[in-house]
Amino acid sequence: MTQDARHTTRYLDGQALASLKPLELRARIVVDGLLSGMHRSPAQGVSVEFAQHRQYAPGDDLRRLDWKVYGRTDKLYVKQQQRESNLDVWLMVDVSGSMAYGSVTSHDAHTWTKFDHAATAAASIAYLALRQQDRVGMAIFDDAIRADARPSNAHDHWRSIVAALAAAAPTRHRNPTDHEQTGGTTDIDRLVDLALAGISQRGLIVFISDLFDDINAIEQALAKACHHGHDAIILQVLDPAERQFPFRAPTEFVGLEAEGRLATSPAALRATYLQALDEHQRAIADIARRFRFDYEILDTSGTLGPPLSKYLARRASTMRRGRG
Amino acid sequence: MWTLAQLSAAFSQAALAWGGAVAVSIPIAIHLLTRYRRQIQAWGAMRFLAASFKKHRRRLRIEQLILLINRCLIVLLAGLAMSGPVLTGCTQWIHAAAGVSARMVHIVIDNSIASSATHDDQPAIERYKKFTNQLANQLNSSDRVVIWQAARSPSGVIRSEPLAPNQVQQHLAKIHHTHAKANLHATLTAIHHTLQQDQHPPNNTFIVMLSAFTRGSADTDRHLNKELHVLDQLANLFALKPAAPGGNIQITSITPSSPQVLTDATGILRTLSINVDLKRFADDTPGTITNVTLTAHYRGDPKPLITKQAQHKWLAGQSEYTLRIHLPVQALSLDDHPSNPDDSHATLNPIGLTVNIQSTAPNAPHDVITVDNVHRAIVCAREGISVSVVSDDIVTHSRHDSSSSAHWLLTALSPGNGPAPVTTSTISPTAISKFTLSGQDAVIVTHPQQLLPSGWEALRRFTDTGGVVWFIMPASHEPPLWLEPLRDTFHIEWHLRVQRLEVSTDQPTPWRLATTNAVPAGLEALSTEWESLLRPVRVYKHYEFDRRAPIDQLLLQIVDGSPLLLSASVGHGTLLLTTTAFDLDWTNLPAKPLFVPLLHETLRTHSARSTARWVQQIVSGDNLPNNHSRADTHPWIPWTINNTANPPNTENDYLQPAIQPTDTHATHEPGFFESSEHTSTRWMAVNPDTPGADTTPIPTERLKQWLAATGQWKWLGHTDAQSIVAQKAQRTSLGWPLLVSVVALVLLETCLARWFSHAAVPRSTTPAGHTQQGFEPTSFGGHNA
Repeated sequence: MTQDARHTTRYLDGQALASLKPLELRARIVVDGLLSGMHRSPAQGVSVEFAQHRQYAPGDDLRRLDWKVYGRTDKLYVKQQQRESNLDVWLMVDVSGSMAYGSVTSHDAHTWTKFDHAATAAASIAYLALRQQDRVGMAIFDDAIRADARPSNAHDHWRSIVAALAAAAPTRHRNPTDHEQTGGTTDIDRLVDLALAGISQRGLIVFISDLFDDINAIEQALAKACHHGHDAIILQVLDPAERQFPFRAPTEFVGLEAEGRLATSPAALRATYLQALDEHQRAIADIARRFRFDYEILDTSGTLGPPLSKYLARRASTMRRGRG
Repeated sequence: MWTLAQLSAAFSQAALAWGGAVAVSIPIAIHLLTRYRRQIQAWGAMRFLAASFKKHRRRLRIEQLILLINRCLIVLLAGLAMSGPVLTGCTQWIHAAAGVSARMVHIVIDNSIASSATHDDQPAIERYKKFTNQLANQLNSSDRVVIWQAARSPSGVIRSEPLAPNQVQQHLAKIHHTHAKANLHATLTAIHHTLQQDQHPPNNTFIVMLSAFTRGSADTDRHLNKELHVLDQLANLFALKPAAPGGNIQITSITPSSPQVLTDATGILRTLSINVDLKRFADDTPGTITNVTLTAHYRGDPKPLITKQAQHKWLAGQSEYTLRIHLPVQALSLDDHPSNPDDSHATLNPIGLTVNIQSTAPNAPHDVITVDNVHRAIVCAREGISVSVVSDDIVTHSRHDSSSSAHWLLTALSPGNGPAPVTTSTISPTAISKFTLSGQDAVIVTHPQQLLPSGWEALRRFTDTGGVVWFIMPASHEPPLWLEPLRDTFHIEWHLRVQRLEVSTDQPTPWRLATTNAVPAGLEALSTEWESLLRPVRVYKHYEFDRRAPIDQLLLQIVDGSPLLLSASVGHGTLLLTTTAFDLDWTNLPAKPLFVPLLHETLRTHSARSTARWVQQIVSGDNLPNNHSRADTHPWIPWTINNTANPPNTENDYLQPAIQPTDTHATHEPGFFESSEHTSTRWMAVNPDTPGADTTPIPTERLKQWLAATGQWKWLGHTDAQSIVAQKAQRTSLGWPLLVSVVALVLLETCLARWFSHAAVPRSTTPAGHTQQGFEPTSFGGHNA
């Protein structure tokens, strides 16, 4: 990786992007940074018709240099092809109450919630997919589908996706102890049922959620996706506080999905809690492995590079399987 | 049910104890506050947290309860430790387990003669015992008591071994008042030495002094030793507040006019005068009548020889009086008590004189001490004395040579045909030996110039054994060369001028005897006619005595001051010298009325002095005479006749191992005693130490000042026995075990908290990405309320 690439990938960190308010801008920076760090174009090897020339940039494949143009103009240009894609990408973004939790703050006191992280990841994947002419659909859900976008690879489709994500961001509760204002619960099984009902073509489903749901429901949902021939990437978004549980003082915990209150000494429960969380993650990993899905944990204090790379790799795999 | 006051009294700093009890509410309050004032945290992963809580809910509650109880105990025990609890039961267990005595209580019981003073029909010694018993009842089995007897004793300060509280009463039963004076100085000094060696913790050591603190028991004129100034640093000092003393009348002494009575005397001495000295303390009211009874007993005979009574009525302000009682000598005749021929002292018959007083007064109490109402003395009765005249006149010349000194002497010593108090015999100067002098009381030497060296040596041994040797100047004009062997034999520097003074025929007035001098001791019987007896005596010749030479007693003196009859002690006997000859050419003394009584009284007195060495006057608490042990001493007049309330206690009251249980305590119990040592026998009259019965109260300030020399004393009432140890129990080291417990509980709390994960510090798992520029390391609580 070049120095410029390292400099760019610094911005793939979702936390760093927290200070960037527009989701659209965040996603563009994430994707551009990701792509500029690759030696090969994501569209490499795909048979497509010519689209345009562009100036050679370090890292471009020399085989794609247009030598004729070089002979005429003595300048290096590479040929860019516009390929046609038949891959449908479905983004399933969780907007349940638990996604409103965030413990990471920036200097300007902006809280980076799990939903922020999930939305950025979703927008980035959508952007990346649309640039590759894939059709991108999206569903925002908690215990029901709160918003959706039909699959499309139209030029302005990405903006509609970003707008939906921005609109669907969980409400910043002023009084999170108020049960009435806590968010809805996650019901991924029901969501998958609803989503699959409207999908007629096999594709790649990207689940972006904290997956704080019953493990059986998760298993059933993924089983249904697998049964319909879909490929899937499971991105579990977790806050570092949820992964470390660093609380010491006696605390009254208030559930963000109307689970009620729990007054306890957190230090006494830490070990057991972490064990339960770990078991839950292991169970999801087992299920994903069984259905040959990718499973990745998105730590809100971490970067977005790995999940996007995971997406690209999975897309290539899905494309190969589709042609085969 | 304990009252609040009782609970408060169980702590030295009750406020701290109550503060500790109240402080228990602090951890409880904190616990409750944390329940209601917890930090509120919105939480997404509630599913897992709830599952964890449900799984460990019961364990968490138990852990919290254990920690809460532990923290309450820490606060409570810390308060208790600082307040100094008096959990005597606990201290008993602790000290019993450690095998050490918790408290050491030294009780000084003044069992001197002053402790026999009665108030409300109860002797002071009984009150002391009662107080001691009450004190012992307040002690634990691990405490120890040492009882000190403050009465003066020839065996030194008497103390008990450390006693368990339940042994105190048994020990007290063996303690009675003595007749000796108290010696608080020695007792406190002995306690001080004991404490220095004992090294018992000062806060658990107590000295309780039980005394009447009268002039007789506490000698406040004598300062306490300087080393006692730190006594209060070694122990807590308590003294029983003295009760108001009452008056006391006692016999200070009885003094016979002579220690020897010649019962066959037909001369002028027909009575024995006995002076009885009376004294009274702390009472000077008039009208008190003291009846005096004098009884004479022969050794071992309960039947009295004679009883005489007298009476004295005290005047206002009168505190001393001497009563004179006359006993007819004939009454002391020992016809019914024949001498034992086997007794080496057959001629000495000891007679015990016992004087009792009994007083009646309009105001009570006038005589709170009765043991000093009896006093004793011993006189030796003899049928007569034996005198030998050493003279060559009678042996070599006519017995009817009426002009010789020997003739005058023999005539004067046996004046009539009847029984004479003096048995006379004659010895030739060359025949003097140990055998010829045997059985003689006195030897009168009229021709010393004829003595052989063996004679001088025999005379020396005679005086060493108590004999009386009287030298008369020979009526010759030869130089007194015999003075040199006299000086060499008797080691006495007597010098006479060789040039004798002689009254010339033309001098009309010979020397007279000095009549202005007092009657010499031993011749008091002649006191009434002393001057008239001296006046007709004339001296024509005599030797001038060197007045710088040692003289014990000057019996007769010429008006110019020259000694005429003088004496000196030699060994146990007496040496007498007359500086003139018993010859009418030298003096008319043999022909004057003075001569016979002078001879008799002089010989009686000086032979009695030798007799007196067999008689001892001892004060209770004194040591026995030399070479006499307790085992050889026994009473020789029944105790019932001694009129003492209690017979001598033959049990071993005194814990010194040197005293055998079978000993009689001659120096402790008043009475008449006979002590035999080898071939000699002595008779002893043991009397109370009467100065110890001085009931005059000491001014309070003076007493405090005297006691303050040893530190700060706290005064106790007669019902304050409990307060001594009850107040000081707070100083037991129970606070330290509690503090140790607190520390242990703190450590336990730390371990428990960690064990329960309540105090565990979470490991820092902050990812590297958290440290990116522009962001704080992960901070939690983004949605805190």
